[in-house]
Amino acid sequence: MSVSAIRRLILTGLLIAIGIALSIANPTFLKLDNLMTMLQEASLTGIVAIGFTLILITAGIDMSIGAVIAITSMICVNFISYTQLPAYIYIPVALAAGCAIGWVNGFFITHFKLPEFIVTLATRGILAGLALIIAVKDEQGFVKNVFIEDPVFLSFGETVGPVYIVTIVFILLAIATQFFMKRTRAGTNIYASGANPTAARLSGINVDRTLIGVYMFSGFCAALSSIFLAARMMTAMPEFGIGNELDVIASVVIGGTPFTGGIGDIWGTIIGTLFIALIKNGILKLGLSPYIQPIVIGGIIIVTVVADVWYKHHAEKKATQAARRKAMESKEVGA
Amino acid sequence: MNTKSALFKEHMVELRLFGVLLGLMVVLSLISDRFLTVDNLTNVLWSVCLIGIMTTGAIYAPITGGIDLSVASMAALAGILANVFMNTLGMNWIVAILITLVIGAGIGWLNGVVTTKFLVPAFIVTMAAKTYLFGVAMLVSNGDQITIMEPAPFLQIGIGKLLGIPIPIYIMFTLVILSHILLKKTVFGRRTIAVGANEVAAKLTGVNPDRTRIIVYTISSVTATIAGIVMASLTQQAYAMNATGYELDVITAIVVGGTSLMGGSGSVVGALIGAVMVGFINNGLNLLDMPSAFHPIATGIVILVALIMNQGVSVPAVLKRWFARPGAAEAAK
Repeated sequence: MSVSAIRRLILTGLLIAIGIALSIANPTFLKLDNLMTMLQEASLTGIVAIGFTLILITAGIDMSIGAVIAITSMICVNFISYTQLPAYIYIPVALAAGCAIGWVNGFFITHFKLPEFIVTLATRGILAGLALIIAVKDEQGFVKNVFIEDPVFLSFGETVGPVYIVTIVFILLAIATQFFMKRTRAGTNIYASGANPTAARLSGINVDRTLIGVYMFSGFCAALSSIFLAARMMTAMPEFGIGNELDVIASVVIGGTPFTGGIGDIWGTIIGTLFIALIKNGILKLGLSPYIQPIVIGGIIIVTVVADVWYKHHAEKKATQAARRKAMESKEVGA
Repeated sequence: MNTKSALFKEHMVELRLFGVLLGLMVVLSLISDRFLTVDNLTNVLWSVCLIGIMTTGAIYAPITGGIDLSVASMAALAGILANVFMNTLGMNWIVAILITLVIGAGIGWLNGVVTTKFLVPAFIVTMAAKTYLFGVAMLVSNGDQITIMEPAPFLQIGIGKLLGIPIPIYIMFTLVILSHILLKKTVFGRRTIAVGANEVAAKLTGVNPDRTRIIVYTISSVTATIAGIVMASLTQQAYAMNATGYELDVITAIVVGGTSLMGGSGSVVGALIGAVMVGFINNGLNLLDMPSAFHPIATGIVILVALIMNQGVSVPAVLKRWFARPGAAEAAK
């Protein structure tokens, strides 16, 4: 059994164990409402996490995802308050804005050879500020809470049967992305660019263009998530999504996509998102202090990565031992 | 090359920065007549002091090619912990400060160990640290803004004056001088630069990169703790959100100061000038009555511009290459 399969089994086991523990501690956990709300929460993070998985596969990082969520929801709110345009016009505009931001990130990273992390941290600051500036204000200049009444827009927050639309979109997007990553040439290019950019360039892959595309996809995913978030909340605030980066990073990392690039897939990310959503829901259902949440999420990231490295060391040690034993045996046979 | 011009060249970055700083001051005093008042400049000084104290230690992480994002949360937590030790547990203020510093050093050490021994990118470790330290700060303080009324000597750290100059200024300049000497004149400083410039080469010449990095993150956390104690005493308040966003200001100051985030070079004096510049820019935005939202925008733009300048790439060349037909960029390589 491969390492990632074992990892997924362990994670799934943990998911079930925590689920059972939670349902014993608080019977309301197992109610269909709670489970579906949890899935909805997971999907909102998960859509962003899909884009982020691709970024991590290229060994990059995107800190601007939270700010992209903020600014795209503000764009939607502006369209709703100041224009009569229908939702099917401004939603594509918002999604395009997400892509455009990703393009800018990618452009700075590839053409100026700047560190990914600091570029996206800078754009994060710029976008968070812009979101506050373009927010709809009342006469006194305070940010106004716009209630979204557009039925088409609100329908994104509805359910089909018991399942929220966002969950369905999340699953469809995950399947499509997984297919794209494993079965198309562009997907292979992304893995190659992450594993070894120089080798990828030498074998004729346009690494710069691949990276820009990945950052655009990440921006798109964040924008998509923001629309579902706004539809669910029936309003939008300029603080939306800011600070969500860590949840997303935790989801992707626990799902088995390392920071070193070249490895990872979407299935792991799905399990990781579910895991983080379950933990957050559990903290809520157990009535613990909400301040514990950041401690737990920060701790999970570090513990996961530390465990990964330990396992890797262990595996390497075992492999070298096996190789040495084999060499010894062949020597004996030769003698 | 004679020594004089060599010296001039060595301090070129600082001199250029100083020129930009003077230009910024002239522009600000022309824009607003409130800029050159004692009250306003004192205000700028406080924020510069806190950022300056943090940068003296935080600059080492970028020199090794890493980064420390946890400084702001660490500072906020330090103020809260010092208050708990002094006022809840009734310790002597010196003992309380020492214990807080030890805790700060411990957290920095942990950051360093996780980064080096487990090969986790520094920004992930320190961002996770930022988050959980914030959580701990919220838990300990219960999310309240705690007013610190006593002990009096503790409050003197922030508001006291010696020879008419506020004590935080002394603290900042002492740390800047110490940090400058540590970086430029000691074995540890040379090791830090070597690890950042070329880790493999450093290792081959007998430097232990892991140990160097662990010390670097410990120093970074300790200066953040000092800044937190000064801040708590200055504002007479312990609050988990006291320093929110300072890490970005610290990074801006470091980058503006000419330190490459890729590692291998850095200037403590440059970072100090960078901190003053960040203070002036924020102050200028306030004086122009800009909404606070312009603050992160300005910081972000300054970071990007400074990074591109540090990187030494020519912007027109990049744009020209980009506007050329698709594929030309690849062919040119």
